[in-house]
Amino acid sequence: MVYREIPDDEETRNRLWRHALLALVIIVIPVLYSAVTAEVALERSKSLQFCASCHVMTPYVEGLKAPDSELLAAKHYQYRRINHNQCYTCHADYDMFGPAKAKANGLKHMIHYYFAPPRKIALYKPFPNSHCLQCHDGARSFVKAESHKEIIEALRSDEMKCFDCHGPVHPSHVEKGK
Amino acid sequence: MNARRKFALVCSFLGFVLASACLYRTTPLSMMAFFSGALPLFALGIIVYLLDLAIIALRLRQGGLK
Repeated sequence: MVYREIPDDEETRNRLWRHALLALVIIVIPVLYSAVTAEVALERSKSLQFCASCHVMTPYVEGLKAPDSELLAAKHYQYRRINHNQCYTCHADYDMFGPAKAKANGLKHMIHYYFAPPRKIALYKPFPNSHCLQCHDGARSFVKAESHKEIIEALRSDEMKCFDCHGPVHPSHVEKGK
Repeated sequence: MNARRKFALVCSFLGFVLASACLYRTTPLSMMAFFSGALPLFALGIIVYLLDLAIIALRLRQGGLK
């Protein structure tokens, strides 16, 4: 069984170059471009401005920016205790797949926003203290505070919530789902 | 250029347009367009082009036997 040899003429060479170019344009460049776009888009989707672009988030963002507000989220934002990506910093989990889950949930939220907007939005699970402690635990102000001395282990184990003393976080009319 | 390759090129081009819109201005809408529009278009273009290559390979193999 002998296969016909591929002729080494100019027409064949041109045909091969065309295929190489097509493969570049149809396969290689789209794959690379998609990877870059996905990474850039997912990174930008962490920003406060991106969260604020959906109108369901407007009350939360207004609460964040209300002047002289004593709400926990507002203080974190206005005193720049979190410099950027304020929503994401508090609301993404910090375990192994936390950022990936946050991004997957974000995509799900977008689909719901356009096709089936919910009447009321709520956290998937009770807000864990670990989201606070990933910044605060170990800090002198947290460890040395008189009020924390007896309850520090309860805070670390989530038996007691940070918000029990430091809340409310967002405007109350929003938190009650009104 | 045959119809399959033209179709694959059109899919790639449309995918580039949607991906570029997302890259230029990342909003929930442009992200939706990228993930639900551009990525499937890119995938479709790749599949159709690979199908075209497979058909060419089969024809060469059939035509090449002595």
